[in-house]
Amino acid sequence: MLEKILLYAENRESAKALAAWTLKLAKILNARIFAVFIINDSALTPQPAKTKIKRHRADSSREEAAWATLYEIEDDAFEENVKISLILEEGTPETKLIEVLQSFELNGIVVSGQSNLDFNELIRRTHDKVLIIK
Amino acid sequence: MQKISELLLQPAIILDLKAKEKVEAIKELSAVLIEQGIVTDADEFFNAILKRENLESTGIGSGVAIPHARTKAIKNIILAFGRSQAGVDFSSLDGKPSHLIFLIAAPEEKKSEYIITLARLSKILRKEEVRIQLNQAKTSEQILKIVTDQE
Repeated sequence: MLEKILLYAENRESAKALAAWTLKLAKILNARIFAVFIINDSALTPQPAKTKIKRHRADSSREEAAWATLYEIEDDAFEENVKISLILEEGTPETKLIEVLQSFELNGIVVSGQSNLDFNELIRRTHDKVLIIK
Repeated sequence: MQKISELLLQPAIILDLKAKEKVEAIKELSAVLIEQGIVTDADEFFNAILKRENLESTGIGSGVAIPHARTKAIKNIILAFGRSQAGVDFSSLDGKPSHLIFLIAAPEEKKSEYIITLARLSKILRKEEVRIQLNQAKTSEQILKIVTDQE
């Protein structure tokens, strides 16, 4: 039974649609959502020292954008009377998603089929606790 | 769009919250905003914050809580800060009590600004050095400077 759902939050249109769908699902099931945004540090390439300030600003903007995404989902969840917790993590998405899943003993992960995730790895390491929504 | 440091006024900073538990902390912070005359309906305001808090905790971990809501009872985004030495239980995911509590409220129709303000504040408070500074600050002027320096 899905009582605690991990929603993988991203800054893309498909993820917004996924969030809306997951909220509806959670409402029907009276489930709690854990919305997780992962700032993917593996996507960054090392920068020379002269761009450190620019990189700091870019990182700062990314984090702010991540929080904004999470709070938008939360605002929608509140409108639907769905319980939600927000989590911001940094690192490799697949690893962090599994860590959160295990830490909070969540029942499953909902992700967009258009995410740049290694779905096979995620499925293997979570023992099939992944719902990929296209 | 106003900065956090422009939204946070000195009269709305409480360096030593008296409250021992969550609802009392929210009431104490709401009171400083209501006293400023910027809340048109005190009951509606307090109930909006509490309704949001009752749905799910706004403790974001690392000793920080950000109770927040949109409400008809105000015309602009408002912000209050309270610090608790003992900590207040906001049922944070990490299980730690909250020592730094920022209460944010926005008019119902200002959703975008509300989201951006929450995002900016969360980003600032995620930095450990900022939290340490806020916990060690001796005056409300210092609190404001710490926030200003981050923007």
